Amino acid sequence: MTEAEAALRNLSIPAGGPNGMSRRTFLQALGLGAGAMGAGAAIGSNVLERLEAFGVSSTTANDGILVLVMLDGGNDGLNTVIPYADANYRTLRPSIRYDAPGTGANAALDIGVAGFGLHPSLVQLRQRYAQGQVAIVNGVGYQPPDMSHFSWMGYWMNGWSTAPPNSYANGWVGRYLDTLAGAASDELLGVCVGQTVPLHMVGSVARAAGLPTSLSDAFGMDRSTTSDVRLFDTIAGYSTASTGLDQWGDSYARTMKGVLDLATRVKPAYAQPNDSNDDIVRQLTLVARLINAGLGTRVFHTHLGGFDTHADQRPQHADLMGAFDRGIAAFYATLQAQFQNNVTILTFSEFGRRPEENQAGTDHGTASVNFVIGTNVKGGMHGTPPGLAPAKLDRNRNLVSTVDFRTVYATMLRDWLQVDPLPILGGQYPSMDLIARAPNVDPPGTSVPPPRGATVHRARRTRVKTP
Amino acid sequence: MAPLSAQDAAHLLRRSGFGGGWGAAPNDLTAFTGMELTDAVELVLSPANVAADPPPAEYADPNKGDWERVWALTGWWFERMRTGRVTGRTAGAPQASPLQEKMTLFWHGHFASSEDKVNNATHMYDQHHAFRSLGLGNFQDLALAITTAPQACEAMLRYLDNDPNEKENPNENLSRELMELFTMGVNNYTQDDVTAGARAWTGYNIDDTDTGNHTFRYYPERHDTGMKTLLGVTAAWDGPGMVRHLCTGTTVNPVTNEAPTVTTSKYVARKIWSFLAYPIPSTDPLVASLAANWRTNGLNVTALLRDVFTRPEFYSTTAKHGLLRSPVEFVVAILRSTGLAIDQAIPWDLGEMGQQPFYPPNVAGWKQNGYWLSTSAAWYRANYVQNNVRWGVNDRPAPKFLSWTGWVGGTYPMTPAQAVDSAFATCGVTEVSAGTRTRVVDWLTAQRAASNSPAFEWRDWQWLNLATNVFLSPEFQLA
Repeated sequence: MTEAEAALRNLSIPAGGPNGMSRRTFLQALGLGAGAMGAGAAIGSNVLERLEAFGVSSTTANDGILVLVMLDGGNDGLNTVIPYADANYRTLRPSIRYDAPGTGANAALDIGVAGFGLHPSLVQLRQRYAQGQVAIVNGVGYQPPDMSHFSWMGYWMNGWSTAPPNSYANGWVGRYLDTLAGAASDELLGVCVGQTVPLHMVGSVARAAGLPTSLSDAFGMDRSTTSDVRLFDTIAGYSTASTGLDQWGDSYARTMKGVLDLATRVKPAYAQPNDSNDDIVRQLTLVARLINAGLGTRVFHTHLGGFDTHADQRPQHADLMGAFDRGIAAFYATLQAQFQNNVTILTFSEFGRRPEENQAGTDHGTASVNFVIGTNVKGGMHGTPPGLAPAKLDRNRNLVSTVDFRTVYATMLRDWLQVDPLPILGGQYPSMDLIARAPNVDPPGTSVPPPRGATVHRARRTRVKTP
Repeated sequence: MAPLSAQDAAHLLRRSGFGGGWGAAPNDLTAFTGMELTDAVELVLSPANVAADPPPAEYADPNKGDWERVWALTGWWFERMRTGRVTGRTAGAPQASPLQEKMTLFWHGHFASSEDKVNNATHMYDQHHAFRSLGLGNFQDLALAITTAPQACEAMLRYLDNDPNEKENPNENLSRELMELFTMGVNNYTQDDVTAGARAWTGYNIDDTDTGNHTFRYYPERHDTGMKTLLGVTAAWDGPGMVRHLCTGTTVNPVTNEAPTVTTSKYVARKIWSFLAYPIPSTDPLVASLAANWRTNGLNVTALLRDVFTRPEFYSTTAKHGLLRSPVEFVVAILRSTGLAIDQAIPWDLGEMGQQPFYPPNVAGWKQNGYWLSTSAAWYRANYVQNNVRWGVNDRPAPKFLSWTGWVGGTYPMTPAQAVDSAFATCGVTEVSAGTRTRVVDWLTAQRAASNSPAFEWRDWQWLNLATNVFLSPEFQLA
């Protein structure tokens, strides 16, 4: 793989990706082809207006919503779901290990599983685990490992079964969004909270919106005077024809049109303050508000960085686990009751960390754990924890993964988002038993959630063929 | 080669610095237009009479916190980028060299360290100073300074956790990123090389006893003096030896079947070309050609830049349309267009735009083009223009911005087309597409038609709206 590819893989919209695609490709992808192109800007404008009509801006009651939490830097799975009773773990981690539950300050939290406990900062997550709403997937990774942050995050984001067919031109969530009606026109089908749109949120035609955690007096939001509207419309209008500046001029024009479209749509989610000290709390609070606003988003991306704990790991990792725990709690505190059974949260990280500590930190490793959180997941331990005995480790003394990460994706796609994973992942992966009930099916023994807010318009989405 | 056209002169000045068409003539653009290319490039490369870079007073204020000190550095750096020029620098009142500031920005993204983890404004300034003072010299010297020179290397040693790297517990962070991101690129080494490099870097720590300054210190007793096999060469490697081998080593690396100096020169030359001209893959023939010349020139960065700026491809349409302005470049271009100083248009939301100086997102630095084009990042560019140009500029202290007399030289009244042409030219845009021009002229005509005053006065707010249109046009986004 070339450096150019490497440079494109992470946290960037690739060259030739949807924002960069030519107008011809864009129209062809929509089945409109070169004929529509030939008619020039006027037709192009109509095409874009027609596409707007596709943008069904709500989910149906039975749609699943997936919220991704990226733990950036390589989260230490061994100190997240802790094999405290394993003698090898205790030997390999003399200064950063956690002990059996109830044994003092550095004790793991009891989850009722022999030999395993949660990181002590995951207090609220443990309660949720006890309610059967947290699935822990052990041993998740990728073979062969290469231990570069950027290569491995690229693999996770791309999610294709083999060497990527298109030099990492798109990612697994983007290819899922491509299958939805309005994929090319409705940016809110996928939302990335933060400044960039990572590769996994980019499809062949779909492009996820980026949204900041707070907005006030933002450009395009106040359309109360005709003079302002005239200015906004002029700037949005650059996207209706080629700018004559090639890929990046056209991409910019489309992005600014996206901004001005979003300005009128996302306003309700920004009405209240969002000012926690924890960025991940702000991000997940915004996600819950966007879901509550009924904007039709199917996949959200959020990001918690700082997991590259080569040194001084214990306090840093504890802070991060605490922030994550508060983020999940804030999300559920904000999410309206009628959406609770529609949401599943999935965490991911590029790799775990080396079993043997380097004094007070850990170098890059391989397998790690994923959390799958929600009312409709099948709680408990899944997958197989990789062994820590010397003979079980690989030649670099790292864990040998037991679950291919695309198996987790396939499960989310097939059992939660209810699409065929094959064309999205490029290979057959079985489902793990992570989803207990389809979206919007109530857990047994719970009361029926209150009816949805009457103000939220809902229309049934029509699926279109994948272009 | 032929004399530089105005378009090519403007392109060279934008890419080698932050643009040259602003301010009253004679400015850099008027000086460069019609000049022989090689003469123009020598001027750009010349560091004569460049201002020194003593940090600002707020940085040195012991009562300021770390974040405030770094923020002071940020504003100070913006002022250097805003006011720098190629021509007209004098010994008495020297100005920054635009190329030097541009390459400081490049090296900041290449040898990336973030205050977010370093947590020490002094270390961040020292590293920044090394980028500026060494960034046009020898690449190996720069790489050595960033990793091993006192009062230059501390930020990187802390950022990549070499501080606790000791022979009993080697830490792989610096070793890996040195090879993956700073010199050769990914997949050109093995995990065994990472492990060997980690041992080579043992003992290059921060002085335990120097609790005030936290300066670099080499602890011989913490260094692993044993033999290590690095890229096929077995020796008692140490940190500086590893850097030298990666930069100029000629023993063939079994992973790549080429010498490390070849791999590194290609990796860095490709990155510099991509930063200044347009992104290219490693397979582009330009890469090997630039790298071979660069090695011939002893990895002198100025020599590489001379090669870049004199290639025909650098003046191609691919190059002219090939890069979007990064947020830093975007803000600097607005400051230079308007004459506003940084404290008259403070970019509080650089992080939301995607590029906060001294806080790169990770050790790989910032990427290009599509990286800046999320709706959230673009939105904050628009917010910056709205907050600092469209609203409230007239409340700011002098120089008063964009009053029509100051801006266009006093012809009154103008037609909308004249006003639009004047606005783009004043903001350094030398090529405006017919589509953009028509759109902005139509907008201004409609504004005029809707005006209460039949005579349609060119009041400041119309100019501010017009400037907003220019700053948010596709043309202004191109670097």
